[in-house]
Amino acid sequence: MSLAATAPPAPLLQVDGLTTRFQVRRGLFGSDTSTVYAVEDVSFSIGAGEIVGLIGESGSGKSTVGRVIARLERTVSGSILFKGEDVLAFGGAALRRYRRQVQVIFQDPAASLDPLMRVQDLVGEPLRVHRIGDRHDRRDRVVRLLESVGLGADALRRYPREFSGGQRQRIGLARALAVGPRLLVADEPVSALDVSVQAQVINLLQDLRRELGLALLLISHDLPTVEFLCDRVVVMYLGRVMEIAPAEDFQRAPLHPYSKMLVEDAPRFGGRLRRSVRNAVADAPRSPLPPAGCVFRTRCRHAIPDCGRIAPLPESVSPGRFVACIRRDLFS
Amino acid sequence: MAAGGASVGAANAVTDAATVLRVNGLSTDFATARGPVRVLNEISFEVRAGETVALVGESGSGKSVTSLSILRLLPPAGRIVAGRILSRGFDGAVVDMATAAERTLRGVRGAGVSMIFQEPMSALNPAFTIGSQIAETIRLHQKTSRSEAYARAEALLAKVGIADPSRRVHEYPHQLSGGMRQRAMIAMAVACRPALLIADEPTTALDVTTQAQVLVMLRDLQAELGMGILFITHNLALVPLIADRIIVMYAGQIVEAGDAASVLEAPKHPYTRALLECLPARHLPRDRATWSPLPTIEGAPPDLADRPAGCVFAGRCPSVVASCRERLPDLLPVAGGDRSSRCWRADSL
Repeated sequence: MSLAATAPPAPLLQVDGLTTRFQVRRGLFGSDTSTVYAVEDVSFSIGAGEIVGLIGESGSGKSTVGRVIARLERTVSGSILFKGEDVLAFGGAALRRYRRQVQVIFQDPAASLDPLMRVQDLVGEPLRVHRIGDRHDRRDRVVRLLESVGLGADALRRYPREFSGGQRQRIGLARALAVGPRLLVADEPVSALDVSVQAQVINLLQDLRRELGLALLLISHDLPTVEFLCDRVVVMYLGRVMEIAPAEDFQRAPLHPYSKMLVEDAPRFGGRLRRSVRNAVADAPRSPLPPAGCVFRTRCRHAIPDCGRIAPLPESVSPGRFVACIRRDLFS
Repeated sequence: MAAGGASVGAANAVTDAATVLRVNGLSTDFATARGPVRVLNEISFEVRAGETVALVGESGSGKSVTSLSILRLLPPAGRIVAGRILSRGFDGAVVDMATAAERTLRGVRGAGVSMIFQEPMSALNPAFTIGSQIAETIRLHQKTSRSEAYARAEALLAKVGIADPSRRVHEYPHQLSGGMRQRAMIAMAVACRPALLIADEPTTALDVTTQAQVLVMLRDLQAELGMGILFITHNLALVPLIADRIIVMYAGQIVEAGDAASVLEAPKHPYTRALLECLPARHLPRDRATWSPLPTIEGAPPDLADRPAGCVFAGRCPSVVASCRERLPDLLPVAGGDRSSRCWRADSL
């Protein structure tokens, strides 16, 4: 199965049938082990210079996908191709080269910056690790990197705690950009920031794409941010892809019942609260084993008996658009 | 009187049964190495029974210090230095929380005024069952038998939409999902039918689908119990869904207040206006080719230890004039209804 053929730009990264499972110990002294399917048969692609949004609720596996792409998590099966090369087979020098090209930033910039290091060392460290330039050369690069994220040279000798949340996220970005990546995996990069600071970081991410041709996998639960910034949207639920759509189409009309629920429940100006709690469908199941068949069927108001037997994979419904739902009558 | 009416001293009591909170000229200082810093500066507003007032602001605006001042739960460095906070105890008696003795405060907290938080585990004790914690809250304020308190706890869990309450009442917090814990905390907060519920970012950590359920539930509880809700949030998109009135805070002051729909529709303070303009939801591109950057607010909030002489927003304000830097504007009524703004140029915005 290949979804890449329909993605507009040539894929920089191609994820195919990705499956990751975790062992969870339960019961007294962890006597009882069971397998959690964190990510199951996930396929999508990211084009060079493309911004792809990965959305879904907690437990959807969206962060795990980001971590697997960054080679921070193991996989059970499936493949990841970066510029046509098999990422999961990389080791040693090839893996180091890959990590220069694919960088990650997380929600809490404070947690990923060593509080005892000065900004010049934090941003310069990746250059040193990857043996880029000599000492003077590296210093110049660090100054330019800080400039590119809107920080002055006066930041060089200061420590992370002396900066606000938004500024720390910029330092994290400068550090990620130091080694000249082609793809940035950003896991909730603006969620912890104030509204006015969010706007600055969102603009910065867009500038980086325009000026450096940087591709971005934006993992976020905030729908407006994703719709504003992304070219395409991938919707996940309980480890599975529910829908893949160009952002404009998604914005206009989400097709999968789960996508619809996400969009309806996201607070919007001009929106309304539902009339009663009873109309609300149940919470996501807490059991480590997702329901058989379509994982969303327990919350889906369109579920039919067949949904318990068939676990649909995303199928093409229109150019660039894939929906994992057997109720084709709902959106054709 | 509108939320944030500046006339301190005009109302010295919760005058009618319809008012559940009246904050008047509240100022709070925090002790720092550089001396006391004024983090709340002459805050005045009220909350009426059955209404929801959204208290909105970014970090450092003073919105959380406001709620902690109301319940007198400030950390040791914080101190209320001026103002009155009139609220109601369990028996309906008026209490000035700013000056009341600790013993009186205990009778108000959790009964006349209760609070819910972003993180339910900050209110729930992991070592006790959900039922025992709710029952304890009830028995703290009311003479009730243990079994009756448990029965009421179970009924409350059912009311907040927890399925199978007779089983859940005997479970511990860790056995519940995040959304269910949030509901259990709310059940505990409303157990004594408070006149005022302070909700500090109660849905910020929740997924959007759970958030929607919790907001609907709060609205239904409010309709049933008639309580006033002070809803503290940084998420402006929630305000039109839940609030009757809005109070916008910046650098420890109220900069704008009034009817939520009119304020969001046509803000009369440059900060409120700029904040709304920052939201991506307001600038969704029609197609990717016409993308343009989001408006931002340049600069940073003022250092509270070194307050500017004039308007606190002057340093970042696109509409600033010379007089803004000289004199701090009062929070004054603006034309067009029950609203006020702390801006010299409010009526020309």
